[in-house]
Amino acid sequence: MAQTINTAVTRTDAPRKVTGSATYAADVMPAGMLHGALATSAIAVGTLARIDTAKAEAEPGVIAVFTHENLPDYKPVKGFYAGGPGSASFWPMENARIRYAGQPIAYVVAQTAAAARRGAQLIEARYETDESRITMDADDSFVVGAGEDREGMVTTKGDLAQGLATAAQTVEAEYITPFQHHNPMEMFAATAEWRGDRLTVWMPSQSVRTLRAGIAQAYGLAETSVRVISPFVGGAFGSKAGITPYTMLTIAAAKAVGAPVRLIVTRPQMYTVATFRPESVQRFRLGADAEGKLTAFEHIEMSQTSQFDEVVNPGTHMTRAMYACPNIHTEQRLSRSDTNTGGFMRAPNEMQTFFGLEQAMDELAIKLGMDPVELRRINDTDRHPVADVPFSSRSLMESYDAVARSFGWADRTPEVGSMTDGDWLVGYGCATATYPTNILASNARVRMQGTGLAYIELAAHDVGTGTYTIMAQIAAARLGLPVEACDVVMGEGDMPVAPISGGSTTAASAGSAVHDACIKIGHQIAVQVSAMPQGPLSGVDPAQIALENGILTAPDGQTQPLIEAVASTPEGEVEVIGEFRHKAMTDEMIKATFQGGYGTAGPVTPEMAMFAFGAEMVEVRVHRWTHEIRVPRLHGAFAAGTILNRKTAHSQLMGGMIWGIGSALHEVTETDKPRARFLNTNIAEYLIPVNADVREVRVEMLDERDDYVNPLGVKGIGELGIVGTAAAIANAVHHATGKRLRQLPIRMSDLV
Amino acid sequence: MLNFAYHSPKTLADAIDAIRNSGGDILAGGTTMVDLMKIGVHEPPALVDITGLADLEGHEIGPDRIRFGALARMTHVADDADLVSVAPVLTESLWKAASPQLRNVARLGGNILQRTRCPYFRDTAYSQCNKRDPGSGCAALDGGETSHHAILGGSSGCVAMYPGDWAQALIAFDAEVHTQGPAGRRTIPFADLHVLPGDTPEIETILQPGEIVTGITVPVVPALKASHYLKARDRESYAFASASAAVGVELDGDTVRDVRIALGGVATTPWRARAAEDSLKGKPLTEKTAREAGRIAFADAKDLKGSAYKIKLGADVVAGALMTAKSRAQGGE
Repeated sequence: MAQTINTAVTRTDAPRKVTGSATYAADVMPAGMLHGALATSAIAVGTLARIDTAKAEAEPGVIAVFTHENLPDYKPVKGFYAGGPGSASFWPMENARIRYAGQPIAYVVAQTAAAARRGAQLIEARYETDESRITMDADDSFVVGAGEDREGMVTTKGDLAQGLATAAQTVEAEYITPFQHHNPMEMFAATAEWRGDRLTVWMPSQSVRTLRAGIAQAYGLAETSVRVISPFVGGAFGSKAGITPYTMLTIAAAKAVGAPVRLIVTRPQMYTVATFRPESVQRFRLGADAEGKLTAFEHIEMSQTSQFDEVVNPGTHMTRAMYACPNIHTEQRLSRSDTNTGGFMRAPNEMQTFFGLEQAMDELAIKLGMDPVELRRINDTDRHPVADVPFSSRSLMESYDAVARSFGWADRTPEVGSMTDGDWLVGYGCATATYPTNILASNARVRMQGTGLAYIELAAHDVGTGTYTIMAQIAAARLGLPVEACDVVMGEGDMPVAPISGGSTTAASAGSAVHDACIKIGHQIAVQVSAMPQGPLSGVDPAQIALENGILTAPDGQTQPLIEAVASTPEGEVEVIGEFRHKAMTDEMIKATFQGGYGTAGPVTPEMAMFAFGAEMVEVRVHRWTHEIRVPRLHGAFAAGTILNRKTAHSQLMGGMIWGIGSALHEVTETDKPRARFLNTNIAEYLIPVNADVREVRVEMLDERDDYVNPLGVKGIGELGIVGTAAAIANAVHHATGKRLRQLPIRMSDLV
Repeated sequence: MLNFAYHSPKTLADAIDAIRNSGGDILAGGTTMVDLMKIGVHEPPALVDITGLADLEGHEIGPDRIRFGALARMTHVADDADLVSVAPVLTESLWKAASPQLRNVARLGGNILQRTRCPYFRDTAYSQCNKRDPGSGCAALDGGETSHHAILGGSSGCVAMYPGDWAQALIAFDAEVHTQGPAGRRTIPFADLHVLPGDTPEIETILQPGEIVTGITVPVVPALKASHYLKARDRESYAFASASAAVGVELDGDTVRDVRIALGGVATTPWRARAAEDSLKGKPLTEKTAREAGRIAFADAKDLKGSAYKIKLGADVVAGALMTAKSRAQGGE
């Protein structure tokens, strides 16, 4: 059997997606289905003085209009940052209160989607408006969890002041990142159908278990009475993780009208009804001795949060892991403003913080007169600088060396503005990428038949990343089957537990459970065939029988193909539940994951620090006349343990790097300050890079073995690619123009 | 849903009647009209779909004039290799506009009449917008985000940007717009088509109800051959201009005999920079005089909060465009 792990396997679900036969949540149409639409608040803070639904109700096709005054059985759940499954702690439409612009104020149900949307447009609301502020105020920030014991929100090691005082060179700067929205191609959608007290919800989800548990609990139903179905997700990036008001409103509306209801959120509404990347200010103070060794490292991350949640995505936990330094101080601070609660967006702890850290390192290298790669090398470390445990594996400098070769870093002349090509100023920049290895408990059911087919089932998700394919590869490798003989079903809440697809967890955690199931199949079959009166493995101690590539092998060299062994059992098939539990997982972590929460044992365990690493190099060109910024070349080299599928992994890393171009040059959710609203809530004006904006992107995946992280040796790669890109581009813009741009996105207007 | 009557007349006369009788609006490619209807900004009682009027399609290049039918598609014109060699500014400004999908659908008559992208105009949650709701105020000027607003041609009631690209080429080269309406046919200098917002930003052109743009003509002059459209934008593939310039030059040796300069991404209407043109006439075209012309083009600019960069950027874009046009006039690229 050919090797299936670490090869390039085309997605098994590709034909279904390109032919349109893959069923997304908004494709389902239960019999008698009605359509929902949201009306949202025009003001940010205040009270609904009056809401007039008469015109909407008179609109032909409109069945019902729900507001806070008449919505029965609407069940809020606790927000994620308060330990619950919800996207936010404040639930609109419980009363007349308005706490952010664009919050739902009414829900219209109609016979057609057009009638529902028209009905929503005809809702007339009058408000009593209070003061509001949409942007954070770094001068008015507070330490997260002050007065409580929230570990790691402030870290102190050594003596920072001393480290700064003895430094030969220091850098002190603030780096600013904006609000950003995920904008997945697939709109937010939810379809709810009640049959008696049994409820089915179709919606794109990064966590069907969280959704099912949360809904069941809110409605006082048995979990088995709630079906949550999400076989395909058209992009999520963190936006489809929690339970949102639009889902619970759809469930409540379906119950109230006695028919299935489907809601598709409009693109502008997608900017306010779920989460986003909060804006932030990253304050760094670095000091180094004359050789470049860091003597002081301070990072204060200040980020925006809502009035009713504390969004803590601790970026300082990632930056403090990067470089050796005896004197470290970090703080995690927040500043409140009048928005919905933000959340996770691809590399939620890393994108903003590494935009700061990796520019600060570049600034330090320039002050020291050092090559920026060499500054990283001299500060590389094999132990976590704060936790003081070894990294389970760390190939940072191997990544730099690989990318430097492919990119041609040696051709760079260090002086600012020293590289030009006609009317273009050319700059080269580099930056480090890292991503924590989150590992969560997972189960998986694998059933193998003597006919040579295997069925793999687990409540994991394919958010467009290739999960269906890698799960089949993992099973195929151990069971000795072709990938196409391994049928994977995922994305339903009643399947065996798998963790939230967030934090780049799925391949490592859910994949390890599939791997474990396949090992167990070997054990179980070994027991059965060894007890048979005849056969090649009859009478062999089953504990001594090994399964490798689909062949059962006894110590004496006797073998039997697994397929044949399975076929020889009375059942003709075998079914097991595989489990992934890491020795570093506490009972609390495992329980949290099983209850739909996020019980990661990573990235730092009592024994080890687990991170993936990479390095990116970029060529930037700035036009002399138009000041336009172009990125003709972006190269990255990454080491993330075992690469399961060289094709889908390549796509993930490349997609992350391209998203990084967007973060650097394009993406920003603009704000209207007097009225505290997001402004450019459409993808004509919220710019993201498309094919025509992206030139050469080269991805190199290094071989790396890590026996600690999980049995497969897999680290996550879904988010790693984006982490270093923005800083690398900013560093290259500086190299080209001499302008140090510490605020995202970097635009022509910064360069005139 | 939003209900409206739909007419698809087969003749121009029927179309004019249908508009007059229904009080409706013209539908061509629909890339602006349908968009505004979906977001609730514009709710016409009827749409008169003129895409069946085959006489209004196509374009032709004559020795003295280039004629464009109002229903010519952006893509077809942008892709015409003959036009590229005769009048590069007319194809480049189409190529740099919108996305391929939009260019395939959008028609030239609608292109020149496209509405502003001002976010306050396009979002009915803002109660203040003089263009959408006359007399209601201007949210942009009331402390709003103005970095994408007009620094030329604005009023105290409206600074919404004219978003188009092709119109800059037309105004630079003295195009004419041909119309037919209840009062008959007329020809309008392109420069007179759009009106400044003043106290009535809801009025954007001098077109009368029922008056249909049937075609556009551009006189062929020597500067058209050495013309260029330079568009600076934050996303290379598809974005509205941060600043753009449609230019052309006719040189006598090094000396400027004729020069055309129009500005995009900076004004409330298509914008001809005549003072900048005058500064160059009879003088050599050098990087220095080009930069000076760029500076003069923005002498009257009134920067809003966050938009000061457009003055410097716009001047640089004018200068850069002129240098390319010069190279073309001298037989270069």
